Amino acid sequence: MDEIQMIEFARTGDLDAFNRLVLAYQDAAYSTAYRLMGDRVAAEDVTQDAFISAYRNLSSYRGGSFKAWLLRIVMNAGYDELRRNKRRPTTPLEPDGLDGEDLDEPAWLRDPGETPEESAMRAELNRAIQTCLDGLEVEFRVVVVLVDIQGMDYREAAESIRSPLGTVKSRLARARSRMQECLKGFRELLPAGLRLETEGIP
Amino acid sequence: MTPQISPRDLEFLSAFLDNQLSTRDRNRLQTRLIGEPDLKQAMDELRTTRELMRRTPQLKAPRSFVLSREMVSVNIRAVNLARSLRSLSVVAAVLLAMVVTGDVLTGGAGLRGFPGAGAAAPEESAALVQAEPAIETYAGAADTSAPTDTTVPSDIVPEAAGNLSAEGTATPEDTIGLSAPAGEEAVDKTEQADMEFRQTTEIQEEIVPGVPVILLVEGLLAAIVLAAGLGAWIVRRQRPR
Repeated sequence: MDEIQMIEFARTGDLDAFNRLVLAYQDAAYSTAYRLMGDRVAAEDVTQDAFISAYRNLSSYRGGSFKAWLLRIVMNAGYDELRRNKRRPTTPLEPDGLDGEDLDEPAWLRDPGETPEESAMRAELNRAIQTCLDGLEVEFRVVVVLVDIQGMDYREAAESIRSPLGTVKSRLARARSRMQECLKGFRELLPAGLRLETEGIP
Repeated sequence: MTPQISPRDLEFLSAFLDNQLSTRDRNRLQTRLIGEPDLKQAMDELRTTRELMRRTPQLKAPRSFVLSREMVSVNIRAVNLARSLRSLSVVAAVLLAMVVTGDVLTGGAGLRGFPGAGAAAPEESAALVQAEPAIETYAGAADTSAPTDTTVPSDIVPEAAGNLSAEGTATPEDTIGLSAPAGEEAVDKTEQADMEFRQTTEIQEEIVPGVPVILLVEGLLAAIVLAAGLGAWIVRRQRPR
């Protein structure tokens, strides 16, 4: 059964068909939610809410990229959650997960084929990027997550956030520039070939 | 050191990296990149940043997010409840607006039953207005030169004067050609109308002691609007699980 058929079946109330779509996109949905929220628990809540909302509103899907449509719902759910938590103090960015587990490199994320060094490097990069993402305003964060992390093209991103193409372009440029400045603070943690030059360092 | 470039150039560089520039803009930028080392350096750094971002691993979902029948059904029930409450609130608001508008257009007739309320029903008002020309005549025919002066000497027709002070004015046309017998008849009508008004008020008070029906209806509708609207909002704010 292909994606279009699954969507059609799900529209008729076939929950099993919809759950196949959930399994196909839950990594992308969760990953997007995590990058947006910067918090594992909040990301899980947002992802679950988004799938429920997607099932309920399948009739509003008018074709095109199902992934873009779904991620738009994830983004909206994330926006709502961020608005609700606006007055809540910012969560610390230090990795202190439950049971001593590093939230930036939890067991479920580790690739068994990696060497410990590679795994540590990836965890550092992950942490640095998430820290810098958390420092961006939401509207910039959303665009950079969709385009540079989720790999959407401009049109898909524009469709996801319901904004003109020009808005995506300008926000992405500014977001990249801000990320660039932020990542310079993590120069030593980044892969050798991708270290950004910083002022005073040759 | 990162070179300073304009926001417009930054946007061009970013779009260039994503191959989102038109052919003309791309060619112009490429020409500039050859002649402007600062711009070239800015682009290299932006490219590195972009590459870093693209190396960010996609996270794996820590658990399955498949939906259960219970999750969906509970949620749909909540959604339906919210929709019903919202509809109820809207309908009640429309009815309330209609009732209030009607009440205002009828001159607050709904307040007739309220003890102490000074407003009279249209029927009574009409009867009283019919009597006004005669009162004007009693007060003095010369007053027709001052049509807006509705003051009536209380020692002549005290009761009618009391009614008039609350009810309105007479026009000059009303006073022309009226004689004293007509005035006497008008005073009779005034007394009769006043009596009817008192009787009606007493009947209203007996039907709904203390509070007029219209106020009860308006209060009830307003309560429905608020309660249903608040209920819909609360249900919608409930996070689906």
